[in-house]
Amino acid sequence: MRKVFTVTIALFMVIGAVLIVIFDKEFETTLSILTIKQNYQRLMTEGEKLSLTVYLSSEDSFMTDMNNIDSMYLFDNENEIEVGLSKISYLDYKEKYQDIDYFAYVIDINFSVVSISDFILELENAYLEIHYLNTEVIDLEIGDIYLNFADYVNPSYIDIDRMFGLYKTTEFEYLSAVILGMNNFTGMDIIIKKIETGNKEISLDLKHSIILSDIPDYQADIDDLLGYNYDAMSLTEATDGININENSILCIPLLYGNELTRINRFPLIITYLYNQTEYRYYMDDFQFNSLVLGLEANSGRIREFVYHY
Amino acid sequence: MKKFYILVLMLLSVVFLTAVQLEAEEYQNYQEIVFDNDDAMMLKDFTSDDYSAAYKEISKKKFIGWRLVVVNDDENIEFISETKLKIVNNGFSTIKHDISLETKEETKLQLSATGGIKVSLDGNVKKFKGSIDADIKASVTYNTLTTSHEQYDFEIIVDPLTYVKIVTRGKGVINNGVGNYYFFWLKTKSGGWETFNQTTEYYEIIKERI
Repeated sequence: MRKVFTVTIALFMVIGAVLIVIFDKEFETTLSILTIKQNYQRLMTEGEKLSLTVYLSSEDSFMTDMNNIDSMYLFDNENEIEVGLSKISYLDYKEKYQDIDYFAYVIDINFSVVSISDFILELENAYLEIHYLNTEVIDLEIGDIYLNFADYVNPSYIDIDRMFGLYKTTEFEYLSAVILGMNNFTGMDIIIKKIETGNKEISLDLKHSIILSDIPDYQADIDDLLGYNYDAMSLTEATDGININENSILCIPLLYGNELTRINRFPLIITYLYNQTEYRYYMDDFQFNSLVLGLEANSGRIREFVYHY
Repeated sequence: MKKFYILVLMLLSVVFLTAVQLEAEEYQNYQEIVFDNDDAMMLKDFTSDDYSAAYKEISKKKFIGWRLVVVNDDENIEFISETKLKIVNNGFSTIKHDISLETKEETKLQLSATGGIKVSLDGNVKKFKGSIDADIKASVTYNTLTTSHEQYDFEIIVDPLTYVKIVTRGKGVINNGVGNYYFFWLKTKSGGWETFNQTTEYYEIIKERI
């Protein structure tokens, strides 16, 4: 009989210990969603999606279940557009930030809900608004958006046969210049008037660009190529353009507005003058370097949305 | 007797070749890898003399566990990776292509091993099989660069009789060395190991005439 009591008491103690371990876990009352404010510049080809990375303080949450989402919108102070959800995928990556574990997810959105063609969607300080079936709504700050839905055809007067970036390191590595191999097929003068990237803060500085005789090494320093210390945060200066009368290698430094930022992908829209007529050459958004993921690496541009259960 | 010696020699050759066979990773196929330090080298370039010299440094017997030596420690390299894509237009009219590339986090850290050291895949994490993984982690820098898994769509126009290719270049750090495993002071396993950490990756687009 004593044995039975001993076993029963031991059993209760074990079950009690297990229950304490299970219920001792602090019940989460909030969910933190982090985004990294970025510039998204894209020439949108048919069916192209926009990928947005978000970090959640919980791995299992109704927020990342596609079945719970009713609709999604991109908006800023002036404009709004409904977008479609293609998928939400867990990156299998977590990172500790301010002592909290965050789990990285990618939300792929598409533009099939509202038919757009030959249109530029520009949103400044944009938000992604997600409406859930349970009537909850969350707004995630994602940054500036420039999406060009132009159905372009490049006239065959010029072409780019080589393109890569040069980099400089301060507190982090930033794109300091773009090297462009330009082909002029006309045999006549062509004047590059301006090169746009879709980013208002970052521009290609034609005024300080130079024509090189050889393709530089990808590790070349922009200051060495220019022959002086280039100020990447000076004001934009007007220029009459660059005359390309034969195939040329252009080295174009980048001008950053208020602060140096990491930028890794943008299109080029080149406006040029040939035979007294203005034309445009479009280069789809090119990924110059791999984008560094991670909250610590981007701490200055993190935005937080806190959801209370 | 002569036949016996030949047989023994053949058997030894097979054993030796098996022992140094490299578990190849993607970075082994990069077009070019250049070390900043001229004396540094990759594991695949180790000669039998290099192996012997390295093993000599860890010849002291141990009761149980691995003895390791780092031969090339945190050696910076530059690389030109394989061509990501190449599109040739042999025709007489311009073609338009939609390209979709994806960056994968797991390519940023790569491991190689020879002989008795093996590489295993645990979920998405590559590691050396067994307790040697922790020993190597303690001996060398072992970080991964985590990059966005974003899908990258790119539209490209290829003129007649030209080709377009996208190549990647970058920087990384290589560590390598050898290890012996002892069990009751007996050496039961030995081999080489190597870690490759990619620190940056840059893309370049090139169009050329065929």
